[in-house]
Amino acid sequence: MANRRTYENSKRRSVYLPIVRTNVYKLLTLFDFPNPAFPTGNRQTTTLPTQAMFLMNSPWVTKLGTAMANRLAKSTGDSIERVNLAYKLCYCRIATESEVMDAIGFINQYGKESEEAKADAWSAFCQLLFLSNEFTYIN
Amino acid sequence: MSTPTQSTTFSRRSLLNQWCLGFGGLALNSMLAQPSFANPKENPLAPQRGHFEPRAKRIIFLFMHGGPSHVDLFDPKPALTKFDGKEPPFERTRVKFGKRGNLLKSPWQFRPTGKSGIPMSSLWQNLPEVADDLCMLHGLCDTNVAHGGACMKLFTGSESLIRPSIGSWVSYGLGTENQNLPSFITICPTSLHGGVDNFGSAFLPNIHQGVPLGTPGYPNTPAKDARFEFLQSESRSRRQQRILLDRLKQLNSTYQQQVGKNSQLEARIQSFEMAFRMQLEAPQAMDLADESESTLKLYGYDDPTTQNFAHQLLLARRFSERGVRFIQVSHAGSLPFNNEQWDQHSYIKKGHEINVAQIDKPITGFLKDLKQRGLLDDTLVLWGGEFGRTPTAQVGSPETIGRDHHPDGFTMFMAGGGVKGGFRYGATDEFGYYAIDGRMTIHDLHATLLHLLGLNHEQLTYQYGGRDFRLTDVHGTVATDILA
Repeated sequence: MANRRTYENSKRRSVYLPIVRTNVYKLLTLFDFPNPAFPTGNRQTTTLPTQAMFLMNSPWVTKLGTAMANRLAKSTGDSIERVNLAYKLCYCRIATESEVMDAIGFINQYGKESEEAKADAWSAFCQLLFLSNEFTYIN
Repeated sequence: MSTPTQSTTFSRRSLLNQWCLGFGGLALNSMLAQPSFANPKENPLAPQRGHFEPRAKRIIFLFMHGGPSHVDLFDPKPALTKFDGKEPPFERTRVKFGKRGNLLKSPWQFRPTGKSGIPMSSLWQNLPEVADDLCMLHGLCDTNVAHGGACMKLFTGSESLIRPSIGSWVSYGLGTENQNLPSFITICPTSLHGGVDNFGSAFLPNIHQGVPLGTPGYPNTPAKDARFEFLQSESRSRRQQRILLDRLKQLNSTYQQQVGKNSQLEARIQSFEMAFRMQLEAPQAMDLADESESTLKLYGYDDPTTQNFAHQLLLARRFSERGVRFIQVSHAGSLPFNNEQWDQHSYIKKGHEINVAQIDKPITGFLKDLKQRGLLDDTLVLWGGEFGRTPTAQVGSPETIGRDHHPDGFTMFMAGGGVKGGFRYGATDEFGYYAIDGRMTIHDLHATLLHLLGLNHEQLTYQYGGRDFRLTDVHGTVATDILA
């Protein structure tokens, strides 16, 4: 269904990165960047548990979650509005009522653990959205 | 159809769903039904049977980086002593790494060890205690005189093209016994001479790649600092992570209901669960706290000289107890004046003295420990480097003299898993230059390794680029004489 207008208005960007064949960027390798030394065809799956560990535990992804949580906090103090904004930013849609309720439930449950957890809850929520399939895969 | 505007109350996806009577959904479903996205095997790491009854269930490879000198360690050559300093009375190989001097005798004496009389040089003080478990391979010979090509050949079967590593082939052929740990772990690997490609999976599914414990380095990461990358969160407790993951599962299953069954999405969901399990099991495997004092002493963990390698071997044993299929340990980067450890172009005496001192007690303790735990019977241990060293001198003064790279005849050894103990297979000529008997190329070595695991090296294939590939390419003969 692509047409020229769509491409011109596209919000997608290209990024050009030098690839050193014997020393590919770690992040690319982690996400199964095809080995530049030989041709690679369609692969059935390129998903690895090491990717999951990176997404869950790396300081970088954690920071991204925190950055987004700060963005939400800056724009509104209302929890429901924050959830909707998060869904709009990440999923390009508004959350359904049950999704909002579940999200707020999660924030409360997560924050119960400790003071640190309470402060971390919105960051965790945002990071969660980054980890989800809906965010990761283009439908 | 207009692109969504600012106050988005619907997405392109929901537009398609609503307005086109699910046309978008239909298109998606038909895409997913294409053969190239068909369900991959449920779990590629599930344990599988080989082609025939295995003698070993796992391999532990003790990699000696740089090329240990066979004539100074395991292959005694009286002719070298007799003709020390003389020109070799034979034609040398055409392809050499550097200028080669005259014959150089070994600074050390050899003596027979164990009941079987396996010769070892006086460098080895502890290893003689396990001599009767060792299967010495004196006929190794291959073609590459440089570390890069030779290492790649040793690990992948190809000296110049990117191919899957041995561990990846083994994982592909047999899966693994513990689904909560990687099937192939390489402990403290070097980043040199092929680096990650030496434990990579190339065109095999990426789940079979070797997972490094400790960042591949130059010099190598010390064992005490070795970690699986991103294994632990620095800021969240395990409990918090579990809540997070449960919520993630909910999010993903809701999404799955909208989108329909999809193997890629499934794989992703599984990968988080596996990561969570790995986060529990891996630290337990790596924690030496439950090792007894006597075990630690046995390996030489209490001695600063041997501690690093002892630590690696303890980890290797612990992983093998937990069902990991292929474990590599690297003796590399621990020699202050030479990052390629055994690569004594100069200072053969000083270098090899230090090198043996670092591994002698640990390997002995390791083999004894495996034996008393009943692990040695079904674990194949392989010791060796990418080549040996020249019986001739690398030009230098008497204090600094060394030996050059030498692939034309060198020694490795095996222990356990179905090979004869106290056995010598193959031989080099009287000077230790050419392998003349029981010759084993790296392909032959690979064929034999696979055979011991119950795999026919000619049948373990993978189709890529229109051709069936295998670890041994179109070569390789199993050395049946070494099988117990």
